[in-house]
Amino acid sequence: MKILKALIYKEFLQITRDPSSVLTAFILPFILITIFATAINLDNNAIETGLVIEGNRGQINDIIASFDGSEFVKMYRYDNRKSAQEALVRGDIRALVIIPNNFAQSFAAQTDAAIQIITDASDPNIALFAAAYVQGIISTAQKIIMENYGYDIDVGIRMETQSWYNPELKSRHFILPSSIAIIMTLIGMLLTALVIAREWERGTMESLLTTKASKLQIISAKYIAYYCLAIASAAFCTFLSVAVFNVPFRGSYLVYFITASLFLLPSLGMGFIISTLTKNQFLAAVAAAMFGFLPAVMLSGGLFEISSMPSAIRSITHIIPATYFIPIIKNLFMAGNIWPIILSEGSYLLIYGILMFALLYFVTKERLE
Amino acid sequence: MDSVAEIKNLSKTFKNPAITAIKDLTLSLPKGKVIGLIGPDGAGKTTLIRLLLGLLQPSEGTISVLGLNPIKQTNLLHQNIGYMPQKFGLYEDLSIQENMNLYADLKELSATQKEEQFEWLLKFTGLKPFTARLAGNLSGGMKQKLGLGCAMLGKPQFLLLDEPGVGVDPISRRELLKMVYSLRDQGITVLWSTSYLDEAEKFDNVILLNNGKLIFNGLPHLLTQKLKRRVFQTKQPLNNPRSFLRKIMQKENRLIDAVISGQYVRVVSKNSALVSELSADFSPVKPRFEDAVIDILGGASMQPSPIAEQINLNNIPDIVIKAEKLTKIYGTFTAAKDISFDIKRGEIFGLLGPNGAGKSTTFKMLCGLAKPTFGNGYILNTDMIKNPASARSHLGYMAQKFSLFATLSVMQNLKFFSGIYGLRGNKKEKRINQMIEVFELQPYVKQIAGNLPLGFKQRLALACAIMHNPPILFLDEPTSGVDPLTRREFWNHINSMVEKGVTVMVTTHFMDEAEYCDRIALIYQGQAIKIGTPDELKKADETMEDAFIRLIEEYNKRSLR
Repeated sequence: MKILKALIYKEFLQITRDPSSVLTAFILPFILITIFATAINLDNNAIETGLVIEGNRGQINDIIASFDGSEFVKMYRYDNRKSAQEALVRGDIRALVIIPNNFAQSFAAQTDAAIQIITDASDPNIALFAAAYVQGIISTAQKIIMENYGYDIDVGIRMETQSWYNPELKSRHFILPSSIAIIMTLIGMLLTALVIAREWERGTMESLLTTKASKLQIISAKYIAYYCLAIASAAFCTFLSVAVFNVPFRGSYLVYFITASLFLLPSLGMGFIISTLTKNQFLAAVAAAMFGFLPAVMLSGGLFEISSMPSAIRSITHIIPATYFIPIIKNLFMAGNIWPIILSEGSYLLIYGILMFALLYFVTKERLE
Repeated sequence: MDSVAEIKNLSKTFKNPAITAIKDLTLSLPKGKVIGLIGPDGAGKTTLIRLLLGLLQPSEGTISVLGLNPIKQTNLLHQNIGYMPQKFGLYEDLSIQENMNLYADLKELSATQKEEQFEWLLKFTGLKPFTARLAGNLSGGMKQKLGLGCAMLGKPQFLLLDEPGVGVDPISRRELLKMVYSLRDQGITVLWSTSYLDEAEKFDNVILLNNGKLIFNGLPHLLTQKLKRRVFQTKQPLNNPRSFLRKIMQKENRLIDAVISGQYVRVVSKNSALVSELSADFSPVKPRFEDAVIDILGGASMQPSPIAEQINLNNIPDIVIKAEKLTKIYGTFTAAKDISFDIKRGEIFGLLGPNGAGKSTTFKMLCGLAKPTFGNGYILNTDMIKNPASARSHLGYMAQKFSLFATLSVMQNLKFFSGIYGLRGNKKEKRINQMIEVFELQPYVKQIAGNLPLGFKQRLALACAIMHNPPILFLDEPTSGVDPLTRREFWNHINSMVEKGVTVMVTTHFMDEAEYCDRIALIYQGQAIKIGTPDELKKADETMEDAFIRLIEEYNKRSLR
């Protein structure tokens, strides 16, 4: 016990003395959270939309008024189809609404009144948003016309959308929880990947092995110290997200703490294993980025939907610890304590963590060969 | 039982790369002695220590240390031994006190034991005033003492030290030796591996390994005795000891070793006679332990070095390097102060001094890697401050730390350095082949430079520094951690280049190497406290080490007054 305490104290001293660990645990997350919260924005609150009205206006004014009143589109008027299409090609506008010549007549005759919507689909996300927004606006206009004139125009598509959990459709609300999981992976794996390699490089591991400290004690001390650092960093990220960037948190903080701890178990283990196998800080850092950070960003389901990945890749996602934690953390933030998910994913994390600890124990040698 | 360790038919083989480090070794380590473990690079010294500690598992044979099996009773063994590994095993980001606390707790000392032993060890090592200092900010000598202090916690019966003297100055080494002897007098057995043979000479017992085999085990004195009447030195001081050395190496075929010692030449013969016409100039002198080790290892190569054949130096001024009141101030710390000297064409100029005295700083200012705060340096009349790059182009530089590309192979390093030094085509290929031949790098050409044995790393580094036949060589501790035979080879190459007019500035912690220099500047506390020939520095009958220590102590007394 005395030995373990001395080793943990040593790890803490080293953490506080090494500016890079503070940098990685607090400054880097601060920068990342800020970037994820502000720069990466999958919403398009104001899509530049062009409007061309061919021929006479009639009731069209109401439609125009609905466009102007929408916070989702920014209107630009063009005189003719040609100049508007050129603007679309140039990228000045992302969508184009054309009300054709015969619209008023068809409208009056109560036959098919067609409105053309063209979107810039080079970014499919924006195209979809634009189409949905414009259609939404036209439905609104339709209602107004209905009320004022008793006409019913059929715009062809009716869309009824309900957004659960993220009713304001703010991407920040689902990006930030995922990014906390990614940042925890970064700290859990990058910092830990360096520490055992450093002991080998500086020759201190050789000294430790000739003391009474057992390998279980050496490993445990590192687990405990870096667990504390990573959990502190996670708390800091959560505080930033909730208090500064106003992301709602709907679950229980106790459940959050327990599941986050479970998540750190395999992450720390992986970092230590990389460190033990490489025995070289540079190699370990590169390996941790390749096998830890990048998969956590790309394949954990945090930013990109796992269900839309090809099945070969989907099977890889199972070996990434973040894959199990992201559903938990997303639900805790956006929905609350969803017990089936917490229990199933949580138990995977626990099993995974124990496996990693066992593997680390197995690869750690008490001798130099 | 009067031994601390019994080794029977011990062998140790490694798989990757396949090396037999220890071959059928049977040995008993006597209790209560200071035992030296010596041998050339790759002889198996570190492997033997690690086997004794239970850090490696024997391939064959048995070991018993303090009556325990190092593999099966590891914990019990570790309770009773102290170990200081090659890099001292200290946490650089922890203070002296914190390092000692950690190692005391790892040995499960009680609070009272801790207090009592800290008191004793801090006093013993003289580290008491510095307990709050981070280990990373200590000089080599202080790190060495702290390493010893940490290893001594728990009062072990058996202390193992792996190369504690690499890169450490003679004063610190002598202090460590004193400390170790006082520990022995308290009944502790010490096993000390070293490449400094003047150190080993003073041990109670010496174990000499070569290629994993035991060559000698016993009193160093017994080995030295064999060379009685076989060591000679010139009677008169010589004007040009280097050319005399070359001549005698060529003419006298019974020599197994020949070195310069100040203005004299010292030789070791195969038997008690010298036959050449030069023999009249010699008289017998007392053999040293190093002579005996070189003898038993088969003698040094007496072949002339082919390395300087291509050197053709014209238009080199008489004063090649000029230091003019070089001063370097870092913040409030003066690393070098008013250092002035001239180095002549074809001279070997040595910078000697304790760790942290300012040798490396002086070196860096003279090769343009650090800008002097005051003063200036000139290389071949080129102003070091105005034109550092052009001044540097005349230099071959070998840094203290291994500064080649560790992840490239030996061949790739040679190709790269010949390329950046402007060698092309046929000339480049010829020179590379010559380097491989001269430095015996052939078996290693495809190996990654970072994995080479230490002696071969140094060979490669020297090869890369001299590839372009530079008129000036800067060598910063070129032979640190290198065995005596390889050191002889190095100096053979250096001497042959100097004879062709190459100028050499060198630092070293080996005092015998200081004797190879034409002139020496003794640097201490940032100042050149003495400049002169080796014979001018020494008083009658003094060794270079004695002179070194005396001069520094004299300076300390003067500055106290």
